[in-house]
Amino acid sequence: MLGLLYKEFIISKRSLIMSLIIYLFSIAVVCLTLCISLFAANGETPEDWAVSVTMMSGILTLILFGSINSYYNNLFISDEKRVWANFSISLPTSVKGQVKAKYIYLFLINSIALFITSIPDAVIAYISGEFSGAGSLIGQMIFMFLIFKYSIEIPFTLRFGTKAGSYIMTAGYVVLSFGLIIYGLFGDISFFMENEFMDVFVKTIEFLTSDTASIIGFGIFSWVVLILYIVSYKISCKVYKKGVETYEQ
Amino acid sequence: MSSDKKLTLKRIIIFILIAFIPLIIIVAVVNAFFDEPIYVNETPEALATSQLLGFIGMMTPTIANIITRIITKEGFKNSYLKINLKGNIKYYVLSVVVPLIYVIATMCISFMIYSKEFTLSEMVDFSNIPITIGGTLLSLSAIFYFFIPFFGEEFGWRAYLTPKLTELMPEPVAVFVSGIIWGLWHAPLTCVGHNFSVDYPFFPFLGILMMCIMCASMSSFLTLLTKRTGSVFPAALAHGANNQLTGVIISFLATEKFLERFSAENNITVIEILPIVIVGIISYIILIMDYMKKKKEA
Repeated sequence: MLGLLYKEFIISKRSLIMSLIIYLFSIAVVCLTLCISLFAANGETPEDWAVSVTMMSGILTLILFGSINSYYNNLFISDEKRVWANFSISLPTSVKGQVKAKYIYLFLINSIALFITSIPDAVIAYISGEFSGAGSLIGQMIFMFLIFKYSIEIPFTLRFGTKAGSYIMTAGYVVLSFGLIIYGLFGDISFFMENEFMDVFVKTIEFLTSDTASIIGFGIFSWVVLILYIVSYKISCKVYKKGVETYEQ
Repeated sequence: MSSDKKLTLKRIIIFILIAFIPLIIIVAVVNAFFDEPIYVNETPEALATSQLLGFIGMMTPTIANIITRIITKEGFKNSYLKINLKGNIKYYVLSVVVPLIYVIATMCISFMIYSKEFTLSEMVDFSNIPITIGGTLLSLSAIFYFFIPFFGEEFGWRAYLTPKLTELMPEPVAVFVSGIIWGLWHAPLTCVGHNFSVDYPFFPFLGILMMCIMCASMSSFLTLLTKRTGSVFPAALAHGANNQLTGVIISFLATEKFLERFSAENNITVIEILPIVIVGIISYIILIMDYMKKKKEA
């Protein structure tokens, strides 16, 4: 199993290095922006400085997770050859090892990303004089969302292949978007209309970190997501063999 | 001393040097930039630095493990990296439940200590019970999401140092010695206010001593988990649960008035570490029994 995990890292090496370069470049741009803002204001911090700093930490975190996870399909495409797939499941690690390696790989790279998010938080705190810790907090939320997304997505990808799997997921997103549009048309969106974008962001963060119902919900959701990920792994193990039969020769 | 033992000793020395020296240098350099010890300094820069320092510091044992293996051409056999979930789920559950129990016990002891000064309703905000449960659930799940730093320490201490010491001395002694080394490794951090702040008698020596006692106790529990499962991950989870839960439950559950009084007091209270010491002693007894059984069989 460790060998298969090693294989996933070797396959994704270039993508991961690319993601890190993008991330480092983004940190440099954010730091430069902060320095220029402070320089322009003669060292005095603007009124909404803390909010801006929090936003920047959040954006950096989004960039990191976004770039790392944008290579999701590559992880599966490389295995979508019937000869290879049949050979790999005939190894002693069998279907379970093959599928487990992918689940662990995705969990691991996102855990590493979450670990890395604390670095720009510190760098930004040095430059701006504000320590929000937003990078790690938003990172945790994105992590949970991604694990939830993968729990649904991976079984489809393994069963129907990356192409068909991504069509199904896109269909899911379209349905979700329709739902949101319908809510936007008929539901209560006064919160978004009355507040500016920055306020919406700050109030959402405040709500998620201090509201009792939100913390309880978040706490339960964090466990549901973990359990769902394990259940998804079990389902993937069951459907993988059928998926292999649909691969090209 | 046989050549095998000499090689093991060499590996241990290299490992300890790589684990200790970078942390000492980093803490000394970073602390020089601030007016007061970094863990009691509340400026944004100090808060960010202390968080980063903790994370980077926790990775040094892992780096030491990898570099020592490469330098001494040991390879990566017996690295305890397999998850080994099959048949070991109870140990994985214990790795989270045991810290949860002793953290709650520690909190109860704290309440008991202050019971002459405060009534229970003055100490505990009962309306906060739901949010405490939510916060605890979140903290517990975070040890899975955020396991890298805890793995960083355990991959060094439990997956490398303890097995290596076991090659040189009887296992129960090795577990104790590795716990003391682990406690001493924290010394640079204790000197800048980590864990116990700086406001206590015989600072920082009492803090270092307390850290050694705590680490020796934890070491036996964490080694027990590692040995029984053949994996370093339950120990990493238990370490994570210990770090994540300490302070979290009390900060949600206690009233503001009590928290103010509690945090004003210096944090060195021998009775408060009693639960962790008890867990350590029980684990130690189990380890000794395992060792005796193995010796008899041999």
